[in-house]
Amino acid sequence: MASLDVNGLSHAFGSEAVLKDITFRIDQGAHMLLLGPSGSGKSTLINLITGILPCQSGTIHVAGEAMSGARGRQRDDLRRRRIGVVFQSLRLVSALTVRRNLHLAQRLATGTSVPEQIDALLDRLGIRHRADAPLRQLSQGQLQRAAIARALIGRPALLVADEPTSALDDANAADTIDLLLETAQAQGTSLLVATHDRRIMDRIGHRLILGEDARAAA
Amino acid sequence: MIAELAFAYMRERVLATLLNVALLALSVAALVMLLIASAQIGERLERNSQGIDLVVGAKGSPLQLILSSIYQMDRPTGNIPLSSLQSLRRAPGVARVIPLALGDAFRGYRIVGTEPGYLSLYKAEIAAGRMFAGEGDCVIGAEAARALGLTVGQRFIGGHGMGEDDGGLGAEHEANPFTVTAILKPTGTVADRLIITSIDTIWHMHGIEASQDNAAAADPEITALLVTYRNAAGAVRLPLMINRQTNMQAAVPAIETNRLLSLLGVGIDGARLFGWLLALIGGLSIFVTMLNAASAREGDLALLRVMGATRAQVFGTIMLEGTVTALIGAVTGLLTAHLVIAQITSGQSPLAQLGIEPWRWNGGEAAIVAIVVGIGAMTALVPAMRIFTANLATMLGKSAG
Repeated sequence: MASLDVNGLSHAFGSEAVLKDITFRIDQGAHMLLLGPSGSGKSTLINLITGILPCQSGTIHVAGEAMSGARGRQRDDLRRRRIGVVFQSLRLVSALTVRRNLHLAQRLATGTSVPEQIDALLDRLGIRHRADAPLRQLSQGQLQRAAIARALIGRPALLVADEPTSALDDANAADTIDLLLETAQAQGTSLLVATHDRRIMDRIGHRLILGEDARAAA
Repeated sequence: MIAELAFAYMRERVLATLLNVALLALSVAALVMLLIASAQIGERLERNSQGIDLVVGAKGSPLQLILSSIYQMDRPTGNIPLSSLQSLRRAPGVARVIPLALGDAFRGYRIVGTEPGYLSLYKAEIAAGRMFAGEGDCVIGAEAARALGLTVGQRFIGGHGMGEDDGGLGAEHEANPFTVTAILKPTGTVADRLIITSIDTIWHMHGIEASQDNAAAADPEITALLVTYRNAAGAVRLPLMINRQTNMQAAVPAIETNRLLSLLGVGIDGARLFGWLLALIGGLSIFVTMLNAASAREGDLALLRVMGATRAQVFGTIMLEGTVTALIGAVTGLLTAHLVIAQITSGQSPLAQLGIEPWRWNGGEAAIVAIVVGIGAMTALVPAMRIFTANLATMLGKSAG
């Protein structure tokens, strides 16, 4: 079963078409890069896949469940259960520690919180020793690792990362993409990474390129 | 989840939270203190003057006469001849006349020379011991006994002075010690704070017997007379007769008490207005804090929504933060008010002398707390609604970067 199946997806804001007839799929545990210049519709596609925007035309299925056609609450529920999201700068809830962020994310996703799982994931990402520190004391790289942990703690079928490395230096960018790939693979989570960061383009083979001559390639 | 986030955000902005709590606590403290004072002062004044229709004493301020003779709060206006007692007892329309001899105190607690009938005015009952009978005998009000640590059989030496400033620490009557013959049960009246003895004892302490041959001492003096009418005719004739035909004055407690309360009322109304203004400022401060916080946390709140929090949960987080801030402020203010009144009434202040009870709760306090918490909730409603109705994609567009 595909973790993500997008078929004939089109979207427009008013009379301006942003996405036209997009079709691709990501199998369970597979990875894909979403490429394209600014304004090519990467963010719109992510918002549609994650159910933040309602689908106008075409279909989206996440782990076999229809995101397209679902009402607002149903989309929120599907996102909560099946999708993890990592943003470039919006990483964690600022008032909580890393541990409390993961606790909250796991409870929202699964209805329960398992401290041992949180500790194991923080261990894997190498930030367990910073789990209870105030967020302002963490480095950019540590924050991005924590954001990956926050997105993966609910064991989602699909992890969507929107520009996860743009704000990081070379070492941290390489580290972050490695951790994303390793951790997602360990959990059997599929990965969709939207980026225009050339440093990570050669790390993931499958690509979907958006733009004037966009073609789906999976 | 909602509670954890609300408290986390309160901790994150601890200074703003403390400022809002302090503003609301201040307003609630002011309002509750005024409520307690206005409710209990009126009630206490009324309770202390029950059964007393008229007070007769030396000429001077009628309010001073009432305050000194009934509420034991001010200095007496002077003395009047003992013969006035018998004259008034014979007057038509008079049911009861109780004489008072004031002027001494023991460690700030007034000594009142009177007759046992004085205690019946306040329905005072003896908890232990017997009523004063011989010279030097005295009974102690419950609160005075507790504060002074006196028990039945103990002896003490009183002194000149009325308590407020000299506290009975003037020249002491060392030759005439008092013996405690009884402790009274609490009455909730002025009697709780008094040391009560016979008029003969007061005279003896002041050497009036020793100067019986003296012409001036032939008619010993007393301080005031508490009069109860037999019928309405007394109320019409007696005050007029005393004020016009004698060197004494007659003051009506009901009139003087009302005058005092109306004078106090102006100040209380002004202070109450100030208290509500403070509550409004506290509410506005929460509003501004919450509005700014909601804008600053737009990214956080958007992330929460992405993580699966519902609109209602995000809305509830903001509402709970505003409401809990107001609740902490209100409860802090409530406790502060009672602590301040307890502190004030632990000494010899006018409020203490009136017998204000600091830990007696008034139903109006719950209403003040509810209104202030309501203000907190209302001010959180606008920013909460703004987030509730915001478009998630737009919020993310602004924040996700």
